Amino acid sequence: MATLIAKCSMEMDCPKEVVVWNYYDHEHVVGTHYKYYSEFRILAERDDWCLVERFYKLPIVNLRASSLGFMYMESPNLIRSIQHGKLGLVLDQEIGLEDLGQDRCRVTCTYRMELPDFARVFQPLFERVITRWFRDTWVEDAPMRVRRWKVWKLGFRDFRGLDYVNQTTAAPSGAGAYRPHPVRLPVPKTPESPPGSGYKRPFEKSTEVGY
Amino acid sequence: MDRAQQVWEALAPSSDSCRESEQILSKKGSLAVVTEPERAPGIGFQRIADVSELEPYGQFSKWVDDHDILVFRQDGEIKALSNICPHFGGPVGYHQMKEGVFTCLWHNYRFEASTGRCLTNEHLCLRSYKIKVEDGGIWVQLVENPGT
Repeated sequence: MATLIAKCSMEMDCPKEVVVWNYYDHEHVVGTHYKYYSEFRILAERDDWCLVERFYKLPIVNLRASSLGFMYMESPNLIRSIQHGKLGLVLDQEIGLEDLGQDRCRVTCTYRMELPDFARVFQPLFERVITRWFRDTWVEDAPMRVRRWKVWKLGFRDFRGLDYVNQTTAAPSGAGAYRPHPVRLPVPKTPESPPGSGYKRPFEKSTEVGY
Repeated sequence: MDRAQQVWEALAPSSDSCRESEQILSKKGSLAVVTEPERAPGIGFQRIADVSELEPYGQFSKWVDDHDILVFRQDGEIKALSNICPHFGGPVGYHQMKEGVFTCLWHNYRFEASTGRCLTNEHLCLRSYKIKVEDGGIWVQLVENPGT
């Protein structure tokens, strides 16, 4: 057997807990990543594990694909995701999280795929596709994580927003100061999207004004 | 009550709080839109942008102090809503408004531009900001109740 490997690492201006929130916030996949993902289904989830089905388009090879994925936390610093593709291929992904102070962390993703020995020749293509995928989704996730961290420090509460904005009062003193971001899994869903339901992107193309 | 409903009950604001906002909105008339170029901006208003910044999309968003404000033109009027989705904090105005509706980038929560009402979840709504347009500038009142 041959093991194809690709490793990507980037630093992020938020604590690792925000990155964990981002990975477990399944609903954002067809929002933030609407250009790549067409559909996402949560088949089951509890605490830090989930079984999900994704439908997406791979870069470079431009293939539409889907996979069944199981994700869990091996430790507070390591998320593991095992994805089983329709062609029988299994992609094993490790997401390492390392704090670099209060407001910064490093994310290191290691992807492995076991294939018959002859497929060793696909290592360069595997590395290219995975690296591109990592980079493209990182570019979309990074502003999301940074913004989430910003509003969280301002006092944001899920399903409420910022009290001083809603109540038209001045921001309280201390708004914007460090505030620990909890890891509460699974990430809460609204009644309109309970576990087991699916999410479809509302559109494929849009005029993006930006953040 | 299933688990999702329990989580929701624990997290969601009471429907009264949204209703209160709606009452405030309705008192202000059609949102907090004030386009009175003949009057000088009042106390508490600050200039946040030039009107020309509405081009080319008819909208823009901007952080001013600790507020993220979505300014847009609808039916010839310039209006302002909070750009912070009350769901998880996403950018409501990332996509260009379509048919009077903003769709938040992160989770596709939809908001009616004319009222700020959330069409995805009836418990949620966006704050509207009082604005004035003068001398080619857009002025916004961030704080309406400074004493509270």
